[in-house]
Amino acid sequence: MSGQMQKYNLSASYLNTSEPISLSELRILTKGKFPNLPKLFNYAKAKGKKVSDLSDEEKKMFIE
Amino acid sequence: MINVWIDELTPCLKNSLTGEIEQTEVVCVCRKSFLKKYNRLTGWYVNWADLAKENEIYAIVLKGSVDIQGLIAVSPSEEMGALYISWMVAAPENNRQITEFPKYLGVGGHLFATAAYISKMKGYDGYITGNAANKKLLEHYQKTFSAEYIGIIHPYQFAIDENMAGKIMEVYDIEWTDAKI
Repeated sequence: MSGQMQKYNLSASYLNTSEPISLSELRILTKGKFPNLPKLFNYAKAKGKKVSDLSDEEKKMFIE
Repeated sequence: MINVWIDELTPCLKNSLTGEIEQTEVVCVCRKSFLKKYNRLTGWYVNWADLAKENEIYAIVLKGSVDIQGLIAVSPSEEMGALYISWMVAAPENNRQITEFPKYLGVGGHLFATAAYISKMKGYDGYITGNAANKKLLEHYQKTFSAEYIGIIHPYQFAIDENMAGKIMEVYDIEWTDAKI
């Protein structure tokens, strides 16, 4: 057994880590509406802003 | 979910005790049976064999070995024009949330560089997106890699664009191998 397969004393916070969300689950959760990221970044660049500084309304313009 | 800490900007992995530099390579992990031992109880957060049902799995290994130092599960997202990272984590012996003294430094950054590389290979120009495991990690990625907060598909969703992906790939050496596990 290699070193990395040893048992660890895992904390409660570790064991409570969220389950992964697959893309297919996201498609259901978002009803297939995703932001087009290249378009969003290009919009921010044209505005001279960082994407993080855009409003939610501006970000939602790129949900397709 | 992305749960790695970017501890050091180093082209290769660095042994934290000796300072010795280790060459790495990225391999595709195709065998679900191989992934069974990478699970919640062994310090890998989730059952990686399950992740392989809907994702492509890649591993960072020490060159010429199958000694896995980090794993990444990704799916190409045509809708977002980016590579979606479903899960990404350093090996428990390199994970500061599990061990006080990680064996190798630089695993987190190499995992991001691997994602950027795969994104380019898939035709997304380096665009990557995923959900940080918590707010602290989200802010860490914003500070370290200029990741942008998106927050649309998940409260901690972030993305990295082609420019930043290019810079990450310049820092971290990614040696690709066609070998599969």
